[in-house]
Order: sequence, then structure tokens, then C-alpha cells
Amino acid sequence: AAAVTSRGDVTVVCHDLETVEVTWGSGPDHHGANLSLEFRYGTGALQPCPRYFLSGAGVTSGCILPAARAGLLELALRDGGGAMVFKARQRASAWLKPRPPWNVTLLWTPDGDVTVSWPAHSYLGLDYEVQHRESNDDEDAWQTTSGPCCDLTVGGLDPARCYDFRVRASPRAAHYGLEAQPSEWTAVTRLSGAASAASCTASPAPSPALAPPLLPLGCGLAALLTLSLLLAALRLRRVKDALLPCVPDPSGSFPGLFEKHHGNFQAWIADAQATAPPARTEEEDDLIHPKAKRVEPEDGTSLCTVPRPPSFEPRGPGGGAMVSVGGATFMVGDSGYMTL
Amino acid sequence: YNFSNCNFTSITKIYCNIIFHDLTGDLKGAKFEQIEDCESKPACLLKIEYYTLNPIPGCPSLPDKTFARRTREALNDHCPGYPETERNDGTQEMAQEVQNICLNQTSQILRLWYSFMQSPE
Repeated sequence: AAAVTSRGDVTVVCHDLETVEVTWGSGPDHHGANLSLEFRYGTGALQPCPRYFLSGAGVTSGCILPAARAGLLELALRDGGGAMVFKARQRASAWLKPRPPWNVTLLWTPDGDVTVSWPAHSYLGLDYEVQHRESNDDEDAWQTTSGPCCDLTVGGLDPARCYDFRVRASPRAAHYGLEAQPSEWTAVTRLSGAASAASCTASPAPSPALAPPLLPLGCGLAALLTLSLLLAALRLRRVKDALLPCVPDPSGSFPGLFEKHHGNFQAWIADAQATAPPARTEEEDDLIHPKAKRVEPEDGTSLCTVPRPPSFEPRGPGGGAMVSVGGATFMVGDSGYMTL
Repeated sequence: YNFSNCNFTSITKIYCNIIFHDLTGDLKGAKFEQIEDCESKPACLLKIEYYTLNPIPGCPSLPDKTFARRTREALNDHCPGYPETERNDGTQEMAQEVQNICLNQTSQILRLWYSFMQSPE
């Protein structure tokens, strides 16, 4: 018989002699291609896997098939090209992993020992491990007591103290071989003597079940508080001024345009011209600027230009009238609107 | 001989305490496909006796190994009427020892003991 084809990434587990689970990784040998599994018991025909499960990449990563307690199970795992990737032939029980013990009972005895008992599995060849430690001890502080089904006694305990207990089933190597593996541990059970029940409950181990409900509530409260603070801050003038952009007020540049004329620029221009200071007289010019001797050019053209009244203002490039007010020149379109 | 009258409890103890360790020690972790199986303790002992106490080509020394001698003793002591017959030590063509053949045969024997332990009487 050929040696068992072995791959490091193929794992076979027989769960409680009920199902066989074969899993394989995405090894480099088959480049992520789908692998297919066939099996048979005894000398029957090879059957395809009844139930595959897929990896995140969408390719097969394992198979679950029924377990038989007798007869040889043959497994054949092939790649897409039909090449054998893994092959094995032995009893399914050789890959046994029992279910954890259930309905475990812990009782103090009058001698100060603890009796641990549980119902039997439906098959033989198992030993059981009972571990105990003082509550709140380190994770590695477990002490082990081993024995057959279906009860074990742990001695040397103090009823005044609190203890943690857990149990698991372990296949005997002489029954199933070296590939069989122990079950998972049961959940930890805390035990105290009658006199120390209060001290056990006073400092229970932190329960992970309590954390999830409190976390969303805390996050909600934090979010609500943050929102409240933000709304309060917006009410402050300084914060508002700092956060909101400043919109310029044109009323400062055009006094009376909005207050008096309600934005009517034409009326504002007319009013501005009416209130403009009158032209200076000749005497006023002498007071401000000394009168210069007039010199006429030889070609007869005049060097001075007399400003025309507003009604005779020259037309702008767009056809609108050019209006000068207070030193600023504007063009008023035919529609009456000012353009800069 | 059908091994139905053997003291299976005593044979089980001898296997668990002695023979199992001898077999696993010889194998050193080598794995082979299982060829033979059995469904009851008498049927398993029949095959165990045959594969253990008869030399095969490529492994003439198998009947002289420690686990084989202890198996013979267990059968003699706890199977009333078990005939302790003389075995052929092998002919010239069996003289050469092939390690892989011996390991495979040892593996088959160990797996038959597993089936013995899991089977009803």
C-alpha cells in the first residue's frame, strides 16, 4: 500500500463519530483552483462530496461528509486537472475529535473534595481531563486530574475558597491512534463551598456578555453630548463670526443708495448730482491757485477744454452714457442699469 | 482456531501497556494506507496473529520483533487451546530486509489493533 499522501494544508477531523470535515487551504500547488473530493467506505464506488464550503475567493475550501464507525474511509482530493492532491485510507475514527462533555455536575463531598460527573459518550476509548484552579488565578494555573468515564474526584481543596473547573474528553491513543485529538474544553464553571458563596459572587469573573450592550449606549451618549456642545457653540457670536463667512455690505460704499432710494441707482445718481458742490468762481480759483498767464498755441488750437454738462456726456464703448460722480466714472446702459 | 474464547480483557491490558508502545516505537510516525480491517475482536485477533507471526517477503524478521513475541505470549497465555505452532523462518528469497515493507506491515498490524479496541466481543 502506498504511503498516505500528505499535505500540510489538508486537515481531516471526525466530529464525534458523526461527520467528517476535510479542509484545505489555498496552497501554491493548485493556484487557487477548485479542488474536488471523492470518498467511499469499504469497497463501494467513489462518491462526490455531498457538501462543499467555499473560501472568500469563491473556490472550494472544504467538505463535510457522513462518518461511519466501521469500515475504511478512502479520501481522494484532486485538483482541476485530475491530479491527486491528497489521498488517505483508514477508519474515520482515526481522526476523532469528541464533543465536549455536557451536563457536568460539581458536588462538594463531606471530606472537602469535589466530585465531577458527566454522562457517557456513545462510544468507548475516551479518557477525561478535569482541570481546576483558584478563581482569579492566572490562565496557566490549571491543575489536571485525568481518568475514565464518568466521574472524577478532585481532592485537597478548601471549601472556603472559590474554584474554576473545566472538563474535556480525550481519545486514548491506543484506541484511535495518534491523529485523534481532544475535544474543546467545557465552559468554565465556578464553584464555592456553602460558607463562601458570597465571596465567590462578590468578585465574579468579568463576563464578556456584559460588554456588548454597554458599548453602543456609551457611544450614543458621547455622540449626543458632542452634538449638544456643537449646537451651544454655534449660538456664540464669536464662534458664529469665526465659522460663517462675512458678506460685504455695499451700503458703506454707496451712502443712501439702499436706505433712501431702495437700490434705484438712477435716482441715486440724479440725487448725487443735485447735491454736488457748485462750480468755483474765478475769485475762488485765484485763492487756491495763482492765475497763470494764458499762452495760446501758435497753430491756433486751445489748450483748455471746457467740461460739458451731464446731458452731453460722451457715449461709452457699450453705447451707454458715461456719468462721473464724485470723481468716479460710471457707464449707464440704455436699460438704465449701471455697469462697472 | 477462532479466538472466540480468549480473555479479551487481559489481552487488552497487555496491548495497551506493552504492545502498543512497541509498535509505535518501531513505526516512528510513519503512515501508510490501511489495507485490512475487522469488525469483531475474534476476527481482529485472527488477522493480527496472521500478519504478526508469519514472515513476509522483504521482512523475514517480523516474527522476531519485540511486539511479535509479546503478541505470541499474550495469545498463548489468554487464548485457551491456542496452538503454538512452529513457524517457517523463511526461505532464501525472503532473506533480504526491506525497511519500507517492514514499516508497512507494522503499520497494518497497529491499525488492526485499533480496530480490535473499537470492536465488540
